[in-house]
Amino acid sequence: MNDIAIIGAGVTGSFIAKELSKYDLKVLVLERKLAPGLEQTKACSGIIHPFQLPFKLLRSRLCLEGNRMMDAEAEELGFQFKRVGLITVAKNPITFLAIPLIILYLRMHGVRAEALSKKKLLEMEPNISEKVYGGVFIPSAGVVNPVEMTAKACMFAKLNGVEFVYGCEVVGIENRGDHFVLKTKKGDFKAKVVINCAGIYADEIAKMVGYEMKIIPGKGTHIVFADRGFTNHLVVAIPLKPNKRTKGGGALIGFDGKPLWGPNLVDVESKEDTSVKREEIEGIIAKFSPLFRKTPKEIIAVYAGLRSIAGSDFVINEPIERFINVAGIQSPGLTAAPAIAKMVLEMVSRHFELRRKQSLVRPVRASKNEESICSSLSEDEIVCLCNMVTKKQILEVAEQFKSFDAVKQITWAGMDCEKCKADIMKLLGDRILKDREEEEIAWS
Amino acid sequence: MVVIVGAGYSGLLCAKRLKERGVKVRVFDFREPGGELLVFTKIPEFREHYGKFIDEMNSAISEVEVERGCVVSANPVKVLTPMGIEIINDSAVIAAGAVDCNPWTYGKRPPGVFSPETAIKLIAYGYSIGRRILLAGEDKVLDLLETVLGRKCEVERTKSTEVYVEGDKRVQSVEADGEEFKCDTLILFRGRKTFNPKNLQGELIGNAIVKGYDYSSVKKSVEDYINLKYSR
Ligand SMILES: Cc1cc2nc3c(=O)[nH]c(=O)nc-3n(C[C@H](O)[C@H](O)[C@H](O)COP(=O)(O)OP(=O)(O)OC[C@H]3O[C@@H](n4cnc5c(N)ncnc54)[C@H](O)[C@@H]3O)c2cc1C
Repeated sequence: MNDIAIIGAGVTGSFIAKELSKYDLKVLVLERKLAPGLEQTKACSGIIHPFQLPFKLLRSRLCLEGNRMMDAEAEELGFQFKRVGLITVAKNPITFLAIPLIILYLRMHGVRAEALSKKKLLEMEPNISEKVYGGVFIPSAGVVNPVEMTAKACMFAKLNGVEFVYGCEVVGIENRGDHFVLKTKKGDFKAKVVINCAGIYADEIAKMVGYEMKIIPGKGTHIVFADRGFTNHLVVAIPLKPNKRTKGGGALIGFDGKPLWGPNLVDVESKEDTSVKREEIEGIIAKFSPLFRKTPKEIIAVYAGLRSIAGSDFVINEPIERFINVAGIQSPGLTAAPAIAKMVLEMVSRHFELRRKQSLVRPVRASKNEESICSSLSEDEIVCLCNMVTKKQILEVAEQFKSFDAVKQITWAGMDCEKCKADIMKLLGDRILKDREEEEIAWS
Repeated sequence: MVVIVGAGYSGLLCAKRLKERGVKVRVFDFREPGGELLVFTKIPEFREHYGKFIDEMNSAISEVEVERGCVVSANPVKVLTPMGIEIINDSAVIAAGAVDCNPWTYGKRPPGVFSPETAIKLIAYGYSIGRRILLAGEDKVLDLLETVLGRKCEVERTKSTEVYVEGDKRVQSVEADGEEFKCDTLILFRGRKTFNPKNLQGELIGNAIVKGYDYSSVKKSVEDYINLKYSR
């Protein structure tokens, strides 16, 4: 019998698993896919948001708290995190006049912000258009690789005793009074407490125990450009009127410095509809290019993800004794993940006497500096030159997660150009195709 | 001395020509020498089509010493080698070749979408890449791929590179130019670009400036460079 079963290893479930692994509890994670973070988390923008409006919402509070926790989390788990900062630009005199008020308002809520003159702004971002009036700089905004962040939390949890079962979709739940039985193709699993972190499918999981809620998919599309260094900060425009449903996207950057424009928000019918329309791409470019003197060079990818939207806020509750929903985790769920985990730990403490483990195992960290690359070269080789990923690093991840997609996302190998894709597939084909599970390896 | 970055056809040919003219060279590659022509030798139709250049390259390989090392910057040249970081105060010639532009599409992103470059490599490594294949784009290399793939698969063509892909676990259909193709694999050619991930500053030669699959032009680019710089 498990103490706790977590359904779903997106960033939410993974951070909860990581937090629970610090205590004497028997914890199990069931994930439908072959690796963590391959659904909503993979398709997000990877921004560690500095704040979320309006400040009264739960997701706003958890965003602020998660943002503050992120340096320590990155240090503990060993994922890459950079506070690159956000520049919000006044494109017209009205928003320019609002700058002092914006700064005051943000500071009141504990968010550092400073005014930027037009001159300073253009110094910081030379590609920004001459037509802007000024802006606000918010230094606490950051960037991560969302799947790496998620996978590192899972690795930490696993090292500290949490059991993970991948390729394991929960298809039914029985409430047996003092415990639940989770039905899957891989057999039944028992747990005293169940935590529902199933993302876009969390409403279906909740339904299995008789709790009605509705999650609506909100599609967000991104464009990735090849032009690293086009901007060095996240750049957005100050909206004339804030939109309640979306922050409106921006001329963002990935954790690797490549321009990442978007996301938009399109309501879709189906929970599988991640298709990208040409009009969306044109729309995103038309929306953000007026901020700049030119558009970045060369699109290298476009992708869409589905936000799990259950009204305006996160739904974190315990509607049925010992069944905890962590649902409707739309944006800024990535940012909030460490704070959500802390909150859920509190909720769990009602059911168990929490005893912290005497000692925790910490993951070993790979160094990417030039000396260490040199010393690895004698028995290893560089596969991805763009992102300096070696054969050994790729195989290490492939040992743990039997999915091409996960290896690509976690190591970032092959995420820039076509040079090494076939080589990665060959490396993995030789090792993992043979014992792959039902899902086809994402050869794309 | 001249440092040559890349030991594919262009780098090796350039090194050989410079050596003949008495110029000292050092050639670095982060992989084994041979570049993409080495891959082409493993597919009969490609081996035949590029035979002349492959032979030329092989003769250069036997004459030129290639060092294993990853050049991470030029001016001065900085190389990561198994022995450590080496700094060389000489000018660099970038012969790192070309790479296919990413084959991004509209619609979904299921497995089964490749650039010609990735497809060629997978075929060379012995994989079968699909059963019903759509080749999208325009270039001689697609004609060659059509012959190779046509031996075992159903192959269709479209000139359009503006394509919508349908499918979840695998490509199911592709829409191009108002026409729908049922297929499990899409090979999409959006052109080639210089392969220079470290943004090395130096003289670009060979396929790094030609950016194609036409090795006569690649050869000409190297010869032109040699004649201009080192005319006797
Ligand atoms: C376009 C877009 C951009 C975003 N940008 C940002 C951003 O920049 N910053 C930010 O902070 N947030 C952002 N977000 C929000 C963020 O991505 C989400 O809040 C976060 O990823 C939610 O994680 P999750 O673990 O709750 O969901 P998911 O990542 O979807 O994880 C749910 C997991 O549950 C699994 N699962 C589902 N059903 C079952 C079942 N029956 N059995 C077993 N497993 C199951 C799924 O396979 C999945 O892995 C963005 C979201 C979108 C869509």
